[in-house]
Amino acid sequence: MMTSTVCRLALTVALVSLAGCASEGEEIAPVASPLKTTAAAAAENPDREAWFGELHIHTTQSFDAFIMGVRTTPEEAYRFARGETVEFMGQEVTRKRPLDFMAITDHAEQMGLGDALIDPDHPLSQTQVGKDIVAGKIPSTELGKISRSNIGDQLDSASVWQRVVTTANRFNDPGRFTTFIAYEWSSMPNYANLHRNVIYRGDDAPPPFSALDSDRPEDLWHFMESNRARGYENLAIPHNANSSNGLMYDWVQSDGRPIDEAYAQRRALNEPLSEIAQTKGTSETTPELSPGDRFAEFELMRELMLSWVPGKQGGSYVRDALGRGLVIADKVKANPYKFGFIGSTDTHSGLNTVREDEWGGHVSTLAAVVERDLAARSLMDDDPFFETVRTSAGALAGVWAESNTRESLFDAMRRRETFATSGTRIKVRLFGGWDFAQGDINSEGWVRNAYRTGVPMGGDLPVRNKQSAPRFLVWAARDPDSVGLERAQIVKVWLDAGQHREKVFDVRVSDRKGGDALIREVWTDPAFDPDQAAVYYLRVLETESPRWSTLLARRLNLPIPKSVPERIQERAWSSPIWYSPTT
Amino acid sequence: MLARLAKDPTAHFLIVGGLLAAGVSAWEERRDYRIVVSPADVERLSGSYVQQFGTAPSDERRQWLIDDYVSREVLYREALRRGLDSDDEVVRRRMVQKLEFLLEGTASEPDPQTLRAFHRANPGRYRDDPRVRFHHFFFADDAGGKARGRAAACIARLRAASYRDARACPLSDTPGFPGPARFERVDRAGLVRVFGDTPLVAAVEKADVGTLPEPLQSAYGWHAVVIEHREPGGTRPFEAVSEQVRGDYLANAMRENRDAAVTELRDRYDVIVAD
Repeated sequence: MMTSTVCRLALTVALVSLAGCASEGEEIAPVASPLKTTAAAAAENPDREAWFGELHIHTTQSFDAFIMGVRTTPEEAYRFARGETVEFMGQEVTRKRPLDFMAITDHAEQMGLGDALIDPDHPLSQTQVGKDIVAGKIPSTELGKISRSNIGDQLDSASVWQRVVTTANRFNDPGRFTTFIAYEWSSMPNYANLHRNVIYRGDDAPPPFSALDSDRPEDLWHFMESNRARGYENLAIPHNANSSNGLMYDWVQSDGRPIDEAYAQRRALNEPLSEIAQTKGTSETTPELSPGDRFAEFELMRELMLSWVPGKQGGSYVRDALGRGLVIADKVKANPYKFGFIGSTDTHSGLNTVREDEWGGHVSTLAAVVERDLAARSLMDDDPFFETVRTSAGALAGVWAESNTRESLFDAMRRRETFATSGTRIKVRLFGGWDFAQGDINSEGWVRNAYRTGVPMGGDLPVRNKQSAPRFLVWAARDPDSVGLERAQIVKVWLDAGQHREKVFDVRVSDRKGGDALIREVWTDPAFDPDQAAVYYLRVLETESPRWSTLLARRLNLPIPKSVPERIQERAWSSPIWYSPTT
Repeated sequence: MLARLAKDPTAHFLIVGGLLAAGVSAWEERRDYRIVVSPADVERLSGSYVQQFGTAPSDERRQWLIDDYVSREVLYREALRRGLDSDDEVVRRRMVQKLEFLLEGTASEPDPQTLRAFHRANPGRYRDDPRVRFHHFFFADDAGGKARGRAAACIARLRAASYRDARACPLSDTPGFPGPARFERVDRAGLVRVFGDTPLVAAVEKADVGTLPEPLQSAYGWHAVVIEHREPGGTRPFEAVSEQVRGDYLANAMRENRDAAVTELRDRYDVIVAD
């Protein structure tokens, strides 16, 4: 009993090493979950459907959100996401279109501390430091120290986590709105962002592993692997690689040793997805890394978290990482950077918005949309420290799954059949194979046929059976509520004499004013070399539309900011398909 | 006269009191023109800067924040002095809103019986929209403006034929449509999810079973739609919406708190509606 309590505490506050706890095995009792969900209610589509959702959002349960003044509860966050009206700053707000799924990812570190500080019955609310935090009397530098301190020892972390589990289960509505039990592991050594969101598949999950337990990803994976062994399937999604100073997709392990086969396999197993876009910038690539890509400059933030000094770009962007993965796989026979893409928001207000006309700047979000004064601040573009105006209106996670249920969506994430958009509901499909013919994308049953003879996004090309180049079915449909599609591109990254190279191919450029509603093309790699490992992903760009900052300035009759583009091209990224000469 | 006053204690009291009052008033007036920026104020300014921008202000930035705060405070006081708050709709609304928020208070956690009663009393809130079963033939917009005509030809053949399947419209683009060709039980939200908020959705919601409406437009092109079956909406059972009922109940309870408080406050006022 005593051992169990100590271990559970340790999982949240890092008093002893994880290994010490894991060896206790059954001693770590999982939190009981009163509900079992069932997928029976949800119809299954064997051709799979595109579901849109959020896998990264914070509520008042996150300590940083709490000190920013956010009081949105997880309950309100779910209600707003599924289309209900909630109250925010004295206004009733409703999103235009509901989300299909959501994972609330409150920071594991000091989770629920804010609630304790404003609960008059909680001893922490009676302490001087507790009163000072609530009164806003603690300078931000001190708050950082507090969030890394042992103040959480006084929290009943088991009951905080219990609430996360039961609330997620209560709002999970198979077929209509799926929730996932989740949290964020927030490791940030020297301002380099190594954060991961951990998502569970089932109705039950053990309390989280926090960065106070360890800030090394390898230790997090150890924890996840022990969960998996005990029947709690889980995966981790890194985000804001753009702010990782080259550490997110490094050439080496976190202790500096070169990546070996075991590390590569563990990473690919535990981290099948990466977040490519969110409010604090995109992580696809930069014009510096990809000089040949004229669409590379898109909603970028090249600086490190909180310090706002430029970070190292190599190792900080997913396209570069895909190439590094090929280089490493060539040496150690396993690819650590074999991941698919999703987008999300990382919104700290608890209320998910992804549309350009619903965003008002990081943190203040909807507040700036309803308050002119806050809007004016959000749109300031002469601030030398952190220009809110540069934050992005958020992004969406797209998942191709048979039904809108935990099981179906999670299994799709596990097999990387996912895509990301910069916020609009563009749908993209990509199939790779050797035998596709020109008519194969518009015939009856083409989807079923493509699954049978090829692989969907996230997969490996089947073994090459003839002397031909790989072919790709490229399919995209516009968002009915946004503008048309300007172009579809295949991004190819390949291994050439131990180095990785990249090229962007236009597959379709619309000749119609306003862009295409649908794109259906069959594309063959014109420069295929069967001896070179390669990876391909699809990028689809909309025609131009006004950025959030332009819309907000126009609506409130404020000057349109000069430091950011007035118009942008919203876009979608499919997960990649890999080719390996050895398969 | 002066001598008599000098001997009168009441006069003493009045004079001293008067002098004191004048002094206090002068002092208050001076204080009203004094702006003290305390360390707590500076911390508050820095704190709200961190909230807004995610990073602590530098010394230079902090000075700017203080200057800005002082200017705003001066303007605020001058505005009050000129009575600008008394006739401003935005100020009124903001103050009303703040008090409403205070009056709402908090509601206590309801028991299951209370929630079931709320569900029974408000069936309209938990209605399922009507659902429709239909299939459609799709003609993509990219065929040189011919999509509508092709859809119309498909409909004409369907009307002439005894069957309602692809034999009548073999050359449609349905396989490329970004959604199913058949919908078994779809409601309005499900339709908007696939077709966008377009004329097609409105027409499918209205059209009679068995009829073949004229070509309908979605965000992707034109459609020939065959409506097969309709089912009316109904109330979702309590078990399926219990969480929503709880949220609605609490919001409703808070609104009732507020309304009761407003009624009580109104009773203190004489309201005269003049002719």
